Amino acid sequence: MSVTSLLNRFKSASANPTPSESLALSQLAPSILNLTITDSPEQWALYESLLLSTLRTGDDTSARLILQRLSDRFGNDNARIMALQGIYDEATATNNAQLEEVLKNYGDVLKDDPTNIPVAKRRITLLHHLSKKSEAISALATLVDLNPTDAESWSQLAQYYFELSMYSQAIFSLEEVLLILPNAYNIHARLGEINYVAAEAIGNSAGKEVVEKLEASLKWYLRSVELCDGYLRGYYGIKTVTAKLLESKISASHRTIPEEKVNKLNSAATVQLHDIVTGSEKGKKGFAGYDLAEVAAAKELLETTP
Amino acid sequence: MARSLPSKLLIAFSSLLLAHACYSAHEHSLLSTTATTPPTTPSSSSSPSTPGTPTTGSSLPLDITLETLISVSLLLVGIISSGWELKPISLRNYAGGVESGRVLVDGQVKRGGLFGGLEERPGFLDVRKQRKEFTEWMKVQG
Amino acid sequence: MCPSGPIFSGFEIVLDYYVLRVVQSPASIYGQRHTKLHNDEPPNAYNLHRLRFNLPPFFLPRLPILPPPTMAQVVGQQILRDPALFYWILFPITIVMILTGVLRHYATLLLQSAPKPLEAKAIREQKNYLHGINLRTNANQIPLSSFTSRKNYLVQAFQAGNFLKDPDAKNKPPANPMSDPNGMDAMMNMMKGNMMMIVPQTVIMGWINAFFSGFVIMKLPFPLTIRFKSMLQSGVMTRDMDVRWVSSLSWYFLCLFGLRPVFTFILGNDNAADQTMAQVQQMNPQANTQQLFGPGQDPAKMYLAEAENLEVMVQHEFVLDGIEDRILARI
Repeated sequence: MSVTSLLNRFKSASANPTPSESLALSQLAPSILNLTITDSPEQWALYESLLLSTLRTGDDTSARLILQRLSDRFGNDNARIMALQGIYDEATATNNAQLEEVLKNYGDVLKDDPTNIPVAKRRITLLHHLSKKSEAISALATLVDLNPTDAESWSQLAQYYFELSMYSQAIFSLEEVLLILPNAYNIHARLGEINYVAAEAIGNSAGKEVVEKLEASLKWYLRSVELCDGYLRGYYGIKTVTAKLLESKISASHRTIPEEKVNKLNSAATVQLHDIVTGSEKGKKGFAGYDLAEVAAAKELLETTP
Repeated sequence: MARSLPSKLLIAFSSLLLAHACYSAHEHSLLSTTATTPPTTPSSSSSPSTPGTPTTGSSLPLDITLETLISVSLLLVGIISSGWELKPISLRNYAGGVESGRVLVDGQVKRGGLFGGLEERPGFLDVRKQRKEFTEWMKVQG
Repeated sequence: MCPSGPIFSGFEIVLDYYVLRVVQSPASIYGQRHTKLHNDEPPNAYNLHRLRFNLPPFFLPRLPILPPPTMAQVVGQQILRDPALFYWILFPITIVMILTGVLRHYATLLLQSAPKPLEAKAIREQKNYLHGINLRTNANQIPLSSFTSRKNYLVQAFQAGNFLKDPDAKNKPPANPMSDPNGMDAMMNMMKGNMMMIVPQTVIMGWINAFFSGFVIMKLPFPLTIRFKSMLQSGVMTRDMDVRWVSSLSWYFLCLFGLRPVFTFILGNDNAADQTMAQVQQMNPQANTQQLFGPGQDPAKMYLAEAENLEVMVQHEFVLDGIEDRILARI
């Protein structure tokens, strides 16, 4: 197999692959390592992806070899190599003391060069992993102050806030992502989800605030569907939120969107979800991209609500 | 690329027509050159009104011009209608295609959609968590 | 031989020892001019060049002498060229130009120094400026309340100069780019690049001038307008020669500007800064090596201008307004 086709195989897998996917990818290691090194950008990108896969599956000897080759080529003081080295150290650490050591290393590197963003991200991840959540958040806040145009950092910050149920901060961070990438439809859907969860979290489920949040959630979901045709997650959200809005305990006086429109949106979302579920289950040609777990969830939703 | 039979035939026919038009034009130009070259008699050099060179700018007959134009336009129609899959140009269609797997990115179905990186965040990869998940999965597999 | 009488209006071109008479055909009086080279003793490449450069006879082999053209056959100019011109001038110039290009490519690679990464404060200054621009361009993506709070914060911070690299320098005139070490570095790089262009060019042009000046080495297969004369016939001072003839010096210029595809073929794409450089850059994910603020620009002023831009934004149309109607209209 050529380097390009191998790389495409890695690219098509997500950063959070299922265990079986990881295993299949990491088993490619011997064949990739036996290819002659052509010093092309694709090959090094392939090496990087393979390093992560081998670390996931615990193939540390291959990982060591890949890391060695990468650092031979680009030097130990390259920011990205330092981050990869850090990932290797994190993965192979056996106890918490070793992890603390890695964390200290990161701190030292960042003291010398505060602009080393890959290592800064590693440090934040490790802090979060070690359950130092507030430290991770403050470190990430410093990072976005240094570089407020990095969408990945803002998105991660939103995730950390969400885990701590700080919904308005999470929404703020995601809005920053939208300022950088205004077409990121999955971020729109995420905003819909967070608004929905925030509405659920408010105990009194009939108040004005709840309806406002639910309607905001519905609108974000609608926008995600407007940006991306046939977005399963968006339609799932629309159906859930409209069902909630149509519940009898929500008083109509607080609503800004008339009931008939909500009804229409609900039935439209039902039709779309039905199409996607049947298409995906029959294995039709144009439905191969949908995540099977998501389709199963949509099917369950369709079965439980008429 | 799959091409339908009618467009294939159209392309073949119009190519033939175009080739014929080119050949006719060539023949015509040859013919007019030999016909209009003045004889090299001494009398021609004495009269200054006779041009010393052949007039190459004689116009092409109308039928050749028409044949060329028609064949080129037919060829265009044939090529355009030959059934390439056109790429979507609006984000809504493209993103939807990537999401549903209709549109391939780098020849593969792209998991996570166009902006998947924003939610996977490779820079913040928690490798220990994934490692743990993997070992647990391996235990279940046996 | 030549038509005599009132219609003769020829003039002479002196080519060293031979006198060639340019004779105009009678048709020229009626606006159509056909010149032809004509001589008492037909010049050929052999005797012409041998006499001029005092070359040994084996250097330019003798050519068969063609009969002088008759009146009716002549279409445009005819100059007899020795094929040796082709082998000893056209090819050498081309090959030397290609080799110089390859050499320059590798020399540039050797001389290039990696761009120095910016320090943290400079990154912060640039990225926060971009943040302001992002807010302004994508304001409609977020609700009005979120936009207003961000706007107020950024306008205040921009006006106070909170993001500036050195807040004290706010009221000073912009520093001299020569004294700024970063600017100095960029200038040094630029000068190196320029030297790599200028030095070989001067040398080769001198070489061509010394060895090959005044040669007409090829004829283009298509006619051109008179405008191209200065481009194609530099170094040959003949007013009346057809534009299609190309002199050696002009061939050098054509090579200089036209060899880019050849270099792309030999050295690969983007050969000025080659693949290896691109790779190192790719491995360096902080794209903070490029300067947003060019030398001589005052960041403080740009921040103030951006604050003003944000302040005067009154229109805000949230994209989610009326989205349910848009979606319903589509279904």
